[in-house]
Amino acid sequence: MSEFYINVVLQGVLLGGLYALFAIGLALSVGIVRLVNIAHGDLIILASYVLVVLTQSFGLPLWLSFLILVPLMAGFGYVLQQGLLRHVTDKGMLPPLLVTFGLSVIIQNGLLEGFGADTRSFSGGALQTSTWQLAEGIYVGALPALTLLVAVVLIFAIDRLIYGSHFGARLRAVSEAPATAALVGLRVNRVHALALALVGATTAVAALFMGLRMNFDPLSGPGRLIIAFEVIVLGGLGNLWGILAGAILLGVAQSVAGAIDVRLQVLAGHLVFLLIILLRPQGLFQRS
Amino acid sequence: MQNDELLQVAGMSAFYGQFRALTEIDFSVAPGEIVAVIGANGAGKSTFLRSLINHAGTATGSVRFHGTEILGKSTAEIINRGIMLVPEGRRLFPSLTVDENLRLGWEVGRRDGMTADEYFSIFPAIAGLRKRPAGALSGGQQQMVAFGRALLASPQLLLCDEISLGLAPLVVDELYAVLPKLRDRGLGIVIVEQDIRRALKVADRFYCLLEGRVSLTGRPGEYTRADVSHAYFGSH
Ligand SMILES: Nc1ncnc2c1ncn2[C@@H]1O[C@H](COP(=O)(O)OP(=O)(O)O)[C@@H](O)[C@H]1O
Ligand SMILES: [Mg+2]
Repeated sequence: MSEFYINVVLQGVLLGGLYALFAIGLALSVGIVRLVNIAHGDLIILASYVLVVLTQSFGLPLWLSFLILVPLMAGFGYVLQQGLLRHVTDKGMLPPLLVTFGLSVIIQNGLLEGFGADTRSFSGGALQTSTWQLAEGIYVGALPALTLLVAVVLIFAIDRLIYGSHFGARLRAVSEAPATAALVGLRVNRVHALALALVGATTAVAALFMGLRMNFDPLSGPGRLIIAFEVIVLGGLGNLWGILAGAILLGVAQSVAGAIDVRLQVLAGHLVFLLIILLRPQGLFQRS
Repeated sequence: MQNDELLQVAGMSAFYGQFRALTEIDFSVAPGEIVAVIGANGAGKSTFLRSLINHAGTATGSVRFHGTEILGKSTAEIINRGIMLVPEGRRLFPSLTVDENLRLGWEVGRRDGMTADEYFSIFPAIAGLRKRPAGALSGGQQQMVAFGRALLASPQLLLCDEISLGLAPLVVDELYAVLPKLRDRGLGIVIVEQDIRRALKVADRFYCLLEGRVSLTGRPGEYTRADVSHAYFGSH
């Protein structure tokens, strides 16, 4: 019985890896560009469909398709900011919400038009079926473990980029005081666009692991967005590692509730979120 | 029109929407010259400096830098051409370290002038604080970093907006002592001050602004205190 719950919690922890991948790009959008991107989940789904095209229409192997996807999504993020979002980035709260909501609808309908409503997923061969036995009766799947590992590595890399590089200093400057940044000669729009390129690259990673682990269809974006939102509100924006913690918490809550009653799984995640927000409105890891 | 001027402003006006903050300003700075801009609170001094780097409302008229019209060019481009501002209120990035703040100046600038090492030799007090967040420094130290951020952009024209504001007199002395050294390197310097006496002591020439217009200009010794006071406060 206790092994059962250890497995359940372990699976929740690993699920948190995937949720962290959903959330990291949104955290960067909100934290650096101050852009609450309603279309963030749809960007992940869009990236997944690009993978569908590369693997199925062009017949490329998944790993190669992914290597192509990363710069494609980075470029898309850059162009999206320079071409569209920069017109609303410093216009207060509402315009970015409206524009990215519109973008979300456009992406969903475009994908429905182009690909139909069928659900899709990627096949990852042995990666999806292998499991390791950690101890007597305790198992982890290779793919969920790899997902968590990638999330940790990605967060570490982005953390070093932001806090340990000259480019990162520019990102922090623009995030902290955009008007001052412009006053001392930083090209704020360009820095924002580069931040969105980074966001785009993270959506490529999220898309790959999402499509390996679960089905998706053109309307799956908002569900990913809600997860990403809950994770960054739980984890706070002050610290990237808070995202991982928030994601793991959400994953464990869902996993445990799902073990009690499958119908509770998603609801329980939201309830835990609401409960924590009531108790600690500043998020779990932010000093008040 | 003199060709030896570094900066030549002619008939510049500046607007915040309908509000006219500056009216028909004529102004010039030569290389190796310190020019003071004095005037009461709200006279338009900050607007003038920020208009030179296209970071205040909208400006009309002409601003020539090295003979090239720069009015309407982006702030980033103007700074990259060699005009840098030490903004009023310092405006550092408080969570960034001193080094990071200084480095941003270097990155946006021309990269052919003062180096970080040189800066630290002029302000040794800052050298020990390089890894501190700028927000943790005292006001005087912050002003020195703001000054350094501007200097590291290798400006040929340095604009200083009320660098003495809220600082202890000793710190202000230290900052002002640097200005003649920079002038001797050939920089043109504009200092904006409300403290008339201090500004006129160091300046080669001055302009007095009154309600957005130049009410008096010349050399500091040229006028009596009453003349300057009249130009500063208006006819009361
Ligand atoms: N961003 C702004 N928007 C509208 N009006 C402004 C703005 N900044 C300054 N002003 C107005 O322009 C005038 C000049 O201000 P400023 O240049 O700051 O004067 P000073 O630096 O000489 O104290 C003042 O009347 C001020 O209220
Ligand atoms: Mg001022």
